[in-house]
Amino acid sequence: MFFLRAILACLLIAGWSILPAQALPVDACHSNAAVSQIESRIQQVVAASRWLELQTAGLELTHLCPNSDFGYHWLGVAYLREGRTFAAARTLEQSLQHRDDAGAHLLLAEAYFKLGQKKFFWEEIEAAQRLLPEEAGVYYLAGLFRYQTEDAFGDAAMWFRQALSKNANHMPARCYLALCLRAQQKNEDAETLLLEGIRKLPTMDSQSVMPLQLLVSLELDLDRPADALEHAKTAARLAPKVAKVQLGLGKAALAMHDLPTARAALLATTALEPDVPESFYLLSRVYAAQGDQRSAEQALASFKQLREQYHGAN
Amino acid sequence: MARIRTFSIVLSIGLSQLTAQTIVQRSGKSVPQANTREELNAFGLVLEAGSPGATLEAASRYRKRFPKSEFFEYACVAEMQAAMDLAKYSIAEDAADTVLKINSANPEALLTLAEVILATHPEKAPPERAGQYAQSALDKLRVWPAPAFSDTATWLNTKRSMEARARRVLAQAGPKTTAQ
Repeated sequence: MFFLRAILACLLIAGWSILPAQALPVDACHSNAAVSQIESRIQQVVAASRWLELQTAGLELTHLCPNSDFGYHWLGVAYLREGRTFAAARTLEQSLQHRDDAGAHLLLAEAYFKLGQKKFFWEEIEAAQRLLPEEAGVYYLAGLFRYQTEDAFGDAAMWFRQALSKNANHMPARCYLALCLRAQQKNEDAETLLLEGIRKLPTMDSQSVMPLQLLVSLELDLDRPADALEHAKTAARLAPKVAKVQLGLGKAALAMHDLPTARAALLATTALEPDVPESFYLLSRVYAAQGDQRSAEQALASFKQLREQYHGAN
Repeated sequence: MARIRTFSIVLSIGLSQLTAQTIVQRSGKSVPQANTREELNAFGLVLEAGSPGATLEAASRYRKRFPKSEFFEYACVAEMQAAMDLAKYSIAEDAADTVLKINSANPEALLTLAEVILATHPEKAPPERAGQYAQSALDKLRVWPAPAFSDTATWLNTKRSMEARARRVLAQAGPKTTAQ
């Protein structure tokens, strides 16, 4: 035990750059103090989204317990969150070689989703569903795949409904179900679903941003700009640094002829994401409505330039 | 119990990352599909090789093992770029030719051929030919679609970088080469 603590101390001093050479037997891994310490550190770094530190912790665990899934599991999570998706898939496969686990299957499904690999994705979803059939996340991810890669709105909606039947507070599933309904021209049903989701929340917090964003878009389509503006303002108050939220506010304010609000929101959008053509087009309309012809022309020129970058010259 | 807790952490932090605070619009595009996980892992090793030399080795192995892979073109592109980094122009040229046989609209391969000609002139071909390849790359880039499962900002940066490279080649190749 002392030896392991000494190793940990060395690691701390060396900034976690040294890896212990001596591996523990699998049984010892489950009751070892050093492993427990690393695991408790893992909880902190995951909660804080510090993925590089998670990678280090995962590597330490794979060296301490090479025959256990622990290290590979967390290393896989770290790679996945760092955007090293191929490495994540390989590492999570290693984790599953040591232990069949629903979480690892679901993470692996996410990796294959990101890599667009249909067959492997569904294999992992089936495995996760078999091991943990009550977990809403499994159904949500399946629906998201059908929605995003196959435009299969009816089937995707079925998966999202299953996710909500397991967990009625699963907000992403609710939002994507609303998107499916919208794609099927069931706008009122989509709106009801989103409003119900917001009502279920104990407080208006970051969880509300997604449904609010969708409501803004729906209400603009339903020609109810006043409702859209109200929801857009709430969303922007909760997430002022999200470009799409500011863009929604800009659109809703423009529809209500609230030009100062529209201008501020669209300028915020272009500052947060300078490569979105639509923001410059809307900004040019706001400037023109305010009589600022020169700024309107500049914004329109930026719009045309970006549109050409995205879609080619007409 | 510990594993369930772990699972919950991953779910709460993990899956929300797919959506963050924004809605990801459906792409409606297809991506190459691997036949086996082994094939996919081998392709991952090509992309994640730590140095141009390692990329060349991994790509060469991949091409031999999976000649019918849907990722074959992309492995050749990685090989071509690594060869250019190492100034191994004949390997880069061979890889570019292979890529263009699969996909004649691949702008990276056209640009590589242009850059190879400039780098090896006068042994290879007159600089006018480089200008023609660069112009062709620019034409393809103009209608180059954003790939599925890639963030738009990265795609736009890549496109701009390739356009800048094409213009550099055109400037070096001379004024006579621009019309094609």
